[in-house]
Amino acid sequence: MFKGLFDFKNQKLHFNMTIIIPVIGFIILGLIVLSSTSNLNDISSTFYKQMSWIFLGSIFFIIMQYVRVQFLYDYSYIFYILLILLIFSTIFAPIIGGSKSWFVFGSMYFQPSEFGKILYVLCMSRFFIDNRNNKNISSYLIFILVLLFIPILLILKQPDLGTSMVYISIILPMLFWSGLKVKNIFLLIAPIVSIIATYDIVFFYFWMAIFLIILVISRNKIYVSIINFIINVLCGILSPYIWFELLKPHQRSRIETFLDPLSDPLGSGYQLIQSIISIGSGGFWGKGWGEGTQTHLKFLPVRDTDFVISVMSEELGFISIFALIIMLSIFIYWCLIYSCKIDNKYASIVLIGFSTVLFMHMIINMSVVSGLLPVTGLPAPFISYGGSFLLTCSIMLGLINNIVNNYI
Amino acid sequence: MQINYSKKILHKRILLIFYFILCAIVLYNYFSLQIMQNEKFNQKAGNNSIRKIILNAPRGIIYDRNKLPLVDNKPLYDLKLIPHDITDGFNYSLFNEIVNIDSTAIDSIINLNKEAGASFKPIIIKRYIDFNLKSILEEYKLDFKGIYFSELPARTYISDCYLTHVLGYLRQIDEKNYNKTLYKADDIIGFSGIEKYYENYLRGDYGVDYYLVDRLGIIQGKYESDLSISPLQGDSIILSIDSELQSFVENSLDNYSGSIIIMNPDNGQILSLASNPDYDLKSFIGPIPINQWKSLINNPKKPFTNRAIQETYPPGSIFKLLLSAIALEHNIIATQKTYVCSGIYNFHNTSFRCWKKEGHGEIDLSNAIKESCNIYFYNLMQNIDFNQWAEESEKLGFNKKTHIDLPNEQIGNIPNRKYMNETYKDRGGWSKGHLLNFSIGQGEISVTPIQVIQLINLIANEGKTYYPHLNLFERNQSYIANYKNNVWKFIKNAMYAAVNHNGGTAYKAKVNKKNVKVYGKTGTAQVCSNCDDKPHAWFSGFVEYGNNQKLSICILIENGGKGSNIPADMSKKIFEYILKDV
Repeated sequence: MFKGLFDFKNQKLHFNMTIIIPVIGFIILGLIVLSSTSNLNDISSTFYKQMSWIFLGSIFFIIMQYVRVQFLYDYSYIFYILLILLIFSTIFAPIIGGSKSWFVFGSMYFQPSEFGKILYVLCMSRFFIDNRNNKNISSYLIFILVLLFIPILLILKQPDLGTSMVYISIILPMLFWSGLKVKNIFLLIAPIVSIIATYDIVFFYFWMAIFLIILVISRNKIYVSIINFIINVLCGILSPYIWFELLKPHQRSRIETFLDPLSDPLGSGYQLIQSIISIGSGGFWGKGWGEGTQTHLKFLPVRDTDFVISVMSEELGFISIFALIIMLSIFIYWCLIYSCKIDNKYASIVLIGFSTVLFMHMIINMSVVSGLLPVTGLPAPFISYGGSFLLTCSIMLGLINNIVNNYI
Repeated sequence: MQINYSKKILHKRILLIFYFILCAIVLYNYFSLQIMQNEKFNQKAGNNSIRKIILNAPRGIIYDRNKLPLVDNKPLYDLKLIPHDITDGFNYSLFNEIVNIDSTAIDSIINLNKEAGASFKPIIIKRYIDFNLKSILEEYKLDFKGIYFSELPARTYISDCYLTHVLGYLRQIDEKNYNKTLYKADDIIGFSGIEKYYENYLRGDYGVDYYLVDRLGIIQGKYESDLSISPLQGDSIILSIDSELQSFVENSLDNYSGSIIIMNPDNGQILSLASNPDYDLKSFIGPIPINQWKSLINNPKKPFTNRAIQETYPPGSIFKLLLSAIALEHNIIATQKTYVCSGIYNFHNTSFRCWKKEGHGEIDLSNAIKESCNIYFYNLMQNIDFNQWAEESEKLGFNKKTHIDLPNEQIGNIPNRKYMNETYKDRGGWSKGHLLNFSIGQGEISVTPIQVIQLINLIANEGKTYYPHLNLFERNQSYIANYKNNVWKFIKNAMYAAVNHNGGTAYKAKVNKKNVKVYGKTGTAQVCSNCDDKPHAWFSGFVEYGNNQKLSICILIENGGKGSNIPADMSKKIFEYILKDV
């Protein structure tokens, strides 16, 4: 089955520095922070563990240079089935931290939806490419919704909101890149806006007016417009009904604290509040390596994994955040430049997919720890401590490097 | 293909802008938190982890004139807790076992201060923890997260003498009424005596320390900060008191109510100041048991009163010195002027008696002082204008403060015409008969022992003395009554005769030593007419010895009977003790 996966003859090992250097920057920043939070005299501390994961990740990166992208294209739909099975398997997983998303092998934790991101990008890319000239937009959009949201709903059920957020966030750039018209993307996201708009009735009417105008301007078939309009109105009418009638008060308050953790400062909001204090107290230059009071006096309970950026902000200051954003911009800039240059439609869209996954991970993580988005467990690529995630990122980076080398 | 490619570039640009906007939003959020709101979050982080602890300064030490410490500091502690740091892990039952404070008391303190937004401020839950108890609590540090200790200025009394009324005691500041720039609500301050009078010297300055605590409230170490201040011990004070002499004087006074003052007339230094009954300052370290406090407050003998300066008495015959001085100064009589004392003196319808029933016969002023003849002074008083007498009395130091460096000095009373008019307005007016009483220090006159000794000081130094003071380095401030020199000399001679010549009322005070001359005057002050209470007994005088050195003394024994007995005898013993090496 795996015959033809590797091509050691034509594909050479070559590092594209425009992409690699920002990532090395991420890794170095991560190691600086981890060396501050962990005991350097203890060989089993997170710092040394992370070092060995980085070593393992480098091997995976190198292996990825010899993978044939054409093979990945060929097997894309099988990957989809594999993805569903992989995520579905988590219903047998133990409950860890309130969700069933991890498998435990000895001291190793494995998160299927983590590796699933790779498969997801690979199969979605092919699906978008194959249907890019589909004339029947309505059925195509419905098909996309069904296909996309099966894995997303499964992940939400675990529940792992952060990962599902990543899954959703990469759809739009990929669809856009595959050539889907903006008006169709608009139709795709309109129901979500409708649900949010019901928060304020005036705003909802306002939104509906805009929605109607856009429907008219975009000159869809008349029944498509009507169906879309009905769907959106239903979303608007049903969501308050669901919110106030179907949900029990304790479920409502759970969602409310999730959306506004600061309302529960000693419970679910504690970590976030302490994280924001850590970030805010860092200032421009930070408190210095190993000097973070929030971190080292254990006010910040979670430090090495999802909230590593808070520690970084506290100890290394805004200047490190600035550097991080610059490196992230360089990374995404070059990835976009390269995917623009690639003629192979599949390779191009896979490149967009992977770079968006890495980019969105970083953005969502940074937004979560600074309170812009609700708290979800989502690590920062190459910076947070965590084995399976680092390997996933290494594979994606490896495939990006592979495509850039072989398709330009 | 060309069109397709340019379309791709457009897509790339749109995506790039989209991504950069996301980056900018995130970056702006961090900028807002880290730069714009940095101060606010710094403070929050500080509140999280830094605890400010006030360090009380040790008070200054009080020494006697020979640099022997009278009062020292002994660390006592306040047990405090920081409400924010008290968690479920707090071992209430063990805490109750050790310090006898149960969980409801702690919880109520915590709840009270949580709402006030003061949960990071240490709250006192028990005062006056000693070092042993503190060590025990510190052993169980992990069971009692969030407790702190702070040192208290507590005293230890290491001298043999009590000096109760001079030293005074410390107490918690009045919570409602205090100087907020200098003190905190729970400060311990000097409440009486030297501790109160020299509070500003003795107090010292607070220190401030910062500690790092972790999330569980356990101290992780000191936080080195420029804002830390070490406490500054208060200034020491050297008293003019001689603690050995003070012990002797206190022992002499032990069985009586009254007071003894010993002073140096040449500089105003007080060598000894005793007032009995007193109380043990040692029992005032830390909390005073309420029943002990009540028994002291309600004691009819008023142990809190410093009888030397805060209680007033009729001066009795001591005041004959004053009248003599005034009469001589203003040439009202000649020194040789005699009156006849028959033991009884009839004035209008009233009979006044001399203490000697058979009378002194014909007697001159000098002998009248020596033998304390009342009749002579009844006669003399009638030759003086009443107001002049009152004014001159004030000139000689009565009816006003002596400015001793102790709080709450009383001034007593010297009546004058106005006073008498007001007092007797509703009682049918007053007559010259009242004035006769004033001549022998009875009636509405009241004085403090410190005023009396100042009169003696004036006599001893022939018109010049100093404000009495206990602080050895207090500037000597002179007090002058510029009477003629021969006035003072005359009175001195009479006082010498009273002590050293046969028939003198103060004969018991005579000290048989070469080069030692004791001068004195007794007083026997009636407390009331027609009652069985014994009169107050006075002796006041001075001694000259060595190279023109002087010491003055004033002894008052409440209800001590005749001044010629107990106080005169006491004075002799005290002078003999002082002059044992002369």
